[in-house]
Amino acid sequence: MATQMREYILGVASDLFSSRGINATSVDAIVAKADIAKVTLYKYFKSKEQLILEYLREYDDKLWKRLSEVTAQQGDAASKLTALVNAMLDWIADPEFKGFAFINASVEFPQSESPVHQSSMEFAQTLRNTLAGLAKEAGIKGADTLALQLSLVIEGAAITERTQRSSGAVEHAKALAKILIGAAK
Amino acid sequence: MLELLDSQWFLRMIVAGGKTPAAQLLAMFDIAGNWIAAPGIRELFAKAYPANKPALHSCAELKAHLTGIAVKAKAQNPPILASQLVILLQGAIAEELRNPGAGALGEAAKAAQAVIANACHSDQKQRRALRAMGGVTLAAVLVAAVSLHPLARQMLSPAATHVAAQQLPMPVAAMPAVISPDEMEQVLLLQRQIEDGRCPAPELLVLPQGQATAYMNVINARTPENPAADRENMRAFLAWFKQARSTQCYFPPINGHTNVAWTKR
Repeated sequence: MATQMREYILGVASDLFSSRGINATSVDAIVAKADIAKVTLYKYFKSKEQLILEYLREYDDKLWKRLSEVTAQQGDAASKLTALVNAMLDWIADPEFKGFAFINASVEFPQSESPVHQSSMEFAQTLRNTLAGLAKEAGIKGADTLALQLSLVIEGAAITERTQRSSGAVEHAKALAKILIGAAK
Repeated sequence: MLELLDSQWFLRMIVAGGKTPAAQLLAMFDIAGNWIAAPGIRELFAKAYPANKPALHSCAELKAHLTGIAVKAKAQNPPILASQLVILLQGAIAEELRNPGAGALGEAAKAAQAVIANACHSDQKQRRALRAMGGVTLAAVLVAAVSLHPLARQMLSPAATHVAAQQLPMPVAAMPAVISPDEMEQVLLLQRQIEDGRCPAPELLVLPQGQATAYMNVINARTPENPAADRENMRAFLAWFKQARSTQCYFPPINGHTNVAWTKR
């Protein structure tokens, strides 16, 4: 029962965070949407910040689970790299996509000492490192350069897709990533 | 702020940024990088996009403009190349704003170079092959027509063929016979006027898909998949251009009262 309530509150908060923005969502709004007493929320989460961090952690878990499922199906590092980028781009193509939580959060919390900012930068860094690691494993010399280029493609596609739904941005970005990986070999 | 990427200033800077179309496409990243690095711009960005308003802008004008340059660069699929370059630019600007000085725009330019080379290189090979193939086919058709039909022999009198050969530039040889030389000449004349800067380039992204493809097929000497439909589309394109864009064409007087150079030749 306790964990169910906790997850319920986190679910409601996550929806509001991703649709309205983190700063624009007050604890009162979460309480009202969830139809619970404020005391109940504070029983499970000691602050709004904790709620935000849990939201980011859950989002990251979900994304990484999907990414590792996709890469696990591939044999060599080069196809893993391509599959990882494609999976990120497919994530963007979801009509529910409202920007990567970690990118949005880092914009909303620009102060580098904020735990929310640190947590969101951590994801971006892990992604970049994973891309570079796979590129190195695939025998690509400029692995870090390629990783940066691929992350630019992913973020640019996310922006383009959000400004113009189904304009083919995701498909164009996949072709783009393929060319870049091919050119780096 | 990001609306500036669609402004006439930015579009003109791109064209002024390089001698060849490919160099212009690449110059875009430099121009954007210099712009962001200019004093005070970062502060303006922070003001224009507070935490609850993400920096999102679709860059539709820019994309249309890049498509036009990609056509001149003879890219295989200009709208896709334009879309890919905008993706790189958007990603690089976001990264540059977040991590100043990490060289995101320079890295994006390197990536763009690879993509442009890929789009334009394979096209050259393809066109060379097509031209060789098409030339042979057309020659065969002509030989057959001349030898079989007395009327055709009359039509293709030496004078007529001479004029046609003079007026029609190289790519015509590769075009399938279904499109009439007259129509082809119209499109190629239009293409010359656009390249000379006398007529506005058509916004290929806003055209119906078939018409844009038909136009591209002619100027790139590609064989259409469906020649009959292609011909209809090309007629529709020419009619549209005449109706909607030809008023924007400007032809300098030929009576010697102006010495403005309209061409770079």
